[in-house]
Amino acid sequence: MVLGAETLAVSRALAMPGEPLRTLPELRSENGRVRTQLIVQNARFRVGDRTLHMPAYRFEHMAEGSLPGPTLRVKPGDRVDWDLANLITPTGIPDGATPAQQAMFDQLDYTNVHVHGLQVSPGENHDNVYQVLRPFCAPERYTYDIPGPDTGRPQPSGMFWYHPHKHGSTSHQAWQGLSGAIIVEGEIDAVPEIRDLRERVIILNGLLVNPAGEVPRAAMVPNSGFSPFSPIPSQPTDMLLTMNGQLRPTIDIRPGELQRWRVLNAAPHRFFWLNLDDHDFYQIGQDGIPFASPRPVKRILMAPGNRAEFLVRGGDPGSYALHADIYEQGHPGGARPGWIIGSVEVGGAPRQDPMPTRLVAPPEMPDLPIANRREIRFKGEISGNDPAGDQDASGDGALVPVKFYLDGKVFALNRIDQKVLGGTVEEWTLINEDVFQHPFHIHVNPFQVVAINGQPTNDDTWWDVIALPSKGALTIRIYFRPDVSGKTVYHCHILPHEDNGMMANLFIYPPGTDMANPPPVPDTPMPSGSGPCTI
Amino acid sequence: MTRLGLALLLASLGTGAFAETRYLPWPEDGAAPRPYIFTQQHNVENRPDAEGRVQLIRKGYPLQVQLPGNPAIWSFRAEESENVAYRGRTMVYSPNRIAGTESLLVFDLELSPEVRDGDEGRITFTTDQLPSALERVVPGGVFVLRFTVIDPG
Repeated sequence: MVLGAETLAVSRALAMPGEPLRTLPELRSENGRVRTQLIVQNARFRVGDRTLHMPAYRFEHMAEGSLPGPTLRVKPGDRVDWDLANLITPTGIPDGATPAQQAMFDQLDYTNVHVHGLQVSPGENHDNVYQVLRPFCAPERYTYDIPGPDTGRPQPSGMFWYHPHKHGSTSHQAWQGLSGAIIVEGEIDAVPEIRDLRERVIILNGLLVNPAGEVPRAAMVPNSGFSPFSPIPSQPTDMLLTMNGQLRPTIDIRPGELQRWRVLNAAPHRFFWLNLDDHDFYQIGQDGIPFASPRPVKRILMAPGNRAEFLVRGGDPGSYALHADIYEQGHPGGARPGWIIGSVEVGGAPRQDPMPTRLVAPPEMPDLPIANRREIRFKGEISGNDPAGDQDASGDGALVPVKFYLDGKVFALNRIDQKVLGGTVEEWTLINEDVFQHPFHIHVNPFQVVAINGQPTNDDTWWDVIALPSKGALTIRIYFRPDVSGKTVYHCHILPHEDNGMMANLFIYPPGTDMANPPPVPDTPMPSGSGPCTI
Repeated sequence: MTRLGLALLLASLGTGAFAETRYLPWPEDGAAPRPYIFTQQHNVENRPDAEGRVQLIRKGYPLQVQLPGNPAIWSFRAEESENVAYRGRTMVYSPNRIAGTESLLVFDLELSPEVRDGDEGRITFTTDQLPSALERVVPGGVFVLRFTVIDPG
């Protein structure tokens, strides 16, 4: 690869409405290893009748980028090594922006990568979201040791994903579609009724583009209307809701055929309330963690970051719309509008694939006493009326367009907000003071919801993202696995909220630490330098 | 010279937006033009932190101003606006988002048909019932957006 060169390629993706759903490129581990480069580089993509210009992921062996990124397939116990290479060049520059104004937003092209849902180390050169890679600087190594059976608690088999997590630029890069699936194959893939099914890996994106087909390089504020954000200074924007980078693609299925769909909501803001006309979904996993048996549901609500894996049985021959139903998620101006995101074409020779009745034994919550109970409060301020700083900030300083707080504070790199002990179980009550249904996400360890507004749920579903009830509270139970320690984060997965403060630091101490007198946490170095490197 | 210093020098050499940027035409791909949307955060009136903000508007695109209200009502001030035409108002249900407001008032406008490249303009809205939650971002209940028309086509 030649650093410094921008190759602009038009995707080969079939991206016109009504075209067959595209199968995303894949890379599979071999002999327990993956070794590649993960390259982010500008490219041009045809989506519907528009040409978009934005960064895209590709693996080292690929000639051109993919919108969304290529899929990685691994198994528990595998080691993944990839070098992240940032070849992003600026796009979306507002008309009239001076060089100084453009430089203010240089950081929107800084990046890193997070492996969402993988129970791996958050340490340096692992799943470290504090790393910052500026454009055209030397690639940075990331290594992930995916927990195998030898750990006693292997990575569950299901759908996980990777995406940028540089604080301040995550939403910008998610609106550019930077996202890719990680499929961990394991026990559920051997279930006889599932093993041979046709599988669809489906990534839902929300691409926020200006008329030039670029994501505005600017501060963003929420507004009413189909396109829910406007930049400062303003540019006209449009919201494209895509499946595998396509507008309203079609999925073919035979009458009676069962298909296995793995769906990721990689949009930074939009909830997808999935609904397929005249068909039910048989959900087999949530956020990468399989169920004991299929659960029939009519609709599935996916907050940003959620994954849902389910079976679909082809009905009578015909064409059926796949909807993102209208959903009130608390955005200014009311519900996000309904949208047909694709269609299912049922045709061909009928089949009668058997529906599984039993799947696998899901992970269990260890039977341990609750080591600690905490409360976390979520609050946003979208008036634009407040100065920079925490919730109680005052004074005559410059106003901030929007601010989002956890426990009244905006994110601070070296403030440790929670200290926990590996190998323990805790209960956290997440209190939402807003109508915005902030999706809570915590890195490394998944959780179960044990109460909603204090009422027990009796639900053993595991999540790594869950939307909080409007003006309500969830109580979750988390097991901090003992073999993963270090500094990481929890945050709202509406990424413009995260970028504007709604993130906090968590430090997981290894078992045996004296939590009455824990050792100090070393500061994370502030990123140095600005702008692109020159090579 | 540092990068920032260089950037500031270049900025100071220009006479606003036109010295720095060439405006490439946006493709006409069949999609209906979306509006330029302005919210209270775009206000520049009595906002020292908004000084120097340049808003360029391309000919041919609709405009929309969205301001939180109810019970506050915002009114378009034609006599204090320039090179824009008012087209109508919608009130959208939006409770519990911004303290003291229950709705968003959505105003549709467009550039005056006779405007030409380089013309300057202004959009003004006012209210007599400013909620305290907006008193710093829209001081005195006066919303002003100043703009310059560009016509890359």
